[in-house]
Amino acid sequence: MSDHGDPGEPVKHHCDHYAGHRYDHLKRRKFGRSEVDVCIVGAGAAGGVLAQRLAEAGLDVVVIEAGPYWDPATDFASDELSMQALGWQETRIVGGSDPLKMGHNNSGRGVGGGTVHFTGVFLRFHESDFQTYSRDGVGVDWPITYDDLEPYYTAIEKEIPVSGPRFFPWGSFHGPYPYPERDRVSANAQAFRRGCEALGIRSVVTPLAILSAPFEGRPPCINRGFCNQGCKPNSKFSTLIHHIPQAIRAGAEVLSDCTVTQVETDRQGQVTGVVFYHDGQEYRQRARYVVLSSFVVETPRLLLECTSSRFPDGLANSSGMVGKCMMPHSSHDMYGLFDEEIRLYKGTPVLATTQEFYETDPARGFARGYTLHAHGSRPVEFIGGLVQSGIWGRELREILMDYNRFGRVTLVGEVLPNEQNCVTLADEKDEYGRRRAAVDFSYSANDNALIAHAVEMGNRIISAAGGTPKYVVADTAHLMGGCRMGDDPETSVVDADCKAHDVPNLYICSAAVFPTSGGGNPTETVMAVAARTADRMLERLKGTTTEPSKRVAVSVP
Amino acid sequence: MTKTRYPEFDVMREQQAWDTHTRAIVAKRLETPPKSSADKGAWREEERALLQCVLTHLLYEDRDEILSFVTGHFEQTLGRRYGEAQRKRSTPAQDQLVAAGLDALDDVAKHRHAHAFTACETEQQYGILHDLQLGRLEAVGAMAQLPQKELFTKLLSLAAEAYASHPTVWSEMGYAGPAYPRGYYRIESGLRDPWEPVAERNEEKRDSKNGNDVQERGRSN
Repeated sequence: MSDHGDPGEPVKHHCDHYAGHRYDHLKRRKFGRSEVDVCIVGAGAAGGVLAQRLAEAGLDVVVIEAGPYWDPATDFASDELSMQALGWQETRIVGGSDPLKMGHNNSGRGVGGGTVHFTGVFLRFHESDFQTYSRDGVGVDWPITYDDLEPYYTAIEKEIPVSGPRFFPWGSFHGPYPYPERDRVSANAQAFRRGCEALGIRSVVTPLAILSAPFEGRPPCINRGFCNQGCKPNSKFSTLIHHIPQAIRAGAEVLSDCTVTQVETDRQGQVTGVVFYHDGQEYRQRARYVVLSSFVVETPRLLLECTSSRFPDGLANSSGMVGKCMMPHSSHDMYGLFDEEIRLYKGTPVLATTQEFYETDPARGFARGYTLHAHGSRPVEFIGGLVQSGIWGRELREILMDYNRFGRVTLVGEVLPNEQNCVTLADEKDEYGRRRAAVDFSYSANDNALIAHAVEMGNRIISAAGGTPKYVVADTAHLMGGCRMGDDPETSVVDADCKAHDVPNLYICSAAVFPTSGGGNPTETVMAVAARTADRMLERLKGTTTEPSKRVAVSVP
Repeated sequence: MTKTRYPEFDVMREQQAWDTHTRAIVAKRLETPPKSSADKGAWREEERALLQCVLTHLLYEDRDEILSFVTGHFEQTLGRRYGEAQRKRSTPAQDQLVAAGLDALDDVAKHRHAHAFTACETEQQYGILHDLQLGRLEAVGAMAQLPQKELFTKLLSLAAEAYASHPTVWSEMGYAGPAYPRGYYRIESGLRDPWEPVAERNEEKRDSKNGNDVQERGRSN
């Protein structure tokens, strides 16, 4: 926990959690001496879903998470500065012509991972997202299609449950959503929809993993506005409050504040478990299967660090693709000044959306497309965009004094995969002697053409709503790729079931397996892929016994 | 126009409606001097004075109580163990960058104006920071070893995140503040909850002088 202004002692969290037990030490581990069925590294969007599904199926599951097990009631504050700790703050070395902003911008730390601080925007990918190569000649096709994920999208939406419009105009799913759409939207969302309507652009109240009515003891949203700082009332879904507690009830053990530093293998090239650190002390967890749900930067970092004579270029990296084709979304912010007050601080940040420009339109001169959101902003984020644009001094102060008259439109734009955009190991080491992750990123010409189109469209919407476009802040959001899935072991790291091509009992399951980025917020697809992976693993494990000789079964077709 | 449109508003008047955790965090920012800067004590008085002088330009702000909070944020952030999320290759770690950077500003000031930075004229100080942002400072003294634009960005971003976290600045922006457990109810256009600020009525009509010219700026790197 950040020490910013916290008057008491730093928050001390428990680090070992299983049904009926919580400890602030690792002396009473449930599975400390045994080989579990599955060890999951990372308790975020994917790890949470996997843990819940696999534990409920009766498997012995341990989840190991680098960050704390947050308590929303005592750890979360309605304050941006002190809640920066929800992001992965450890230093990454960034490069390329468009170096990425990391930390809170795109990666979570702690149980719940990125779902603790995401805006709750919950969108399915479109059919075309899985076939960008065959349809548009760019990127690569996924080894799975929309139809493969469809039942999992539906199940996840029902489970959380998602609120959204009665009719959703784009993609393959047109609603209705399990819960009704939010019935009041912010002035910023109203302005956005007014502008869209004037231009003949369809818009909707955004599908959100935020309650519009009570559910299982969780209250509907009170429009406090701090989705990115952790939801205190628990109106917003996270795996911290939903999937992880269910996994624990079903028998899983969660080890938090524990950093995995190595995946161990035997002479046959199979994974045997992981090494992790807690409070400077080294521990081990043996497992029949290991799943890396440690997102887009730490997963390649870990794999690249695990070299041996059998895996000289890192674990699961015979293709050389580990760390490559990492993608953010382009996420420029368009700020417009209005005569009337908009008050960007009020309400759920994203309450209105259009996907009118999602699919490829050859007339635009670039492939693929994007989503635009009306997007609120609190003071630290607001000033952060201004200073990132190089504004300071008197001009900065003047704009701050007009804060309440600004509206904002935010882009979530597809970024095409490119092998030059990658996660590698830097020469510099961290405090444990591990090499830091290096993250290099540059936009392509197609990416930049897409951004230019989207920025102009955002500004047209602001103008049509009666505002004056004033500032455009270059930014990114989300991360995908780096361990992509594919049918060909020479060009991808995992197969369609998220199983490593090179290692029969190692899985990688997170946004890291995305072959392309899609043009919308990725969390729902991450969770759908995780739910599908859990099903595929269970099918496979059914055919096995725990006898070591028979431990590795053939993959289910 | 750097004056607030909400001269009557004080966001702290509503603090009893906030959860105790949030209230404690925010209220502490109004303590003078902030306890945090006192117990770290890692910074020399001259360093603190130089930083504060830089901040008056970066933030167009001269109120001591606000600047000392921002300075305290620098000390706290640069003194903690965990990382800075991202750093470019060949850029020193943020604590070294800022410490060396402040020394380097003095070196440039002495080279240009034969005075320490704090002893320079206001215009001269501004000119140095202006050139730092553009990476155009003379490579003299410690400045020869430093990435100038990275230094400027680090100073400005640390300053800005603290500045926009100070309750006095919240009040002036018309930001109505934390809202848990009560929430915001009247969120639609033209509506406001009773505790939210009201813009001063006889405020002169201020229109954007620049009209339609959109200022597109890339990152300053």
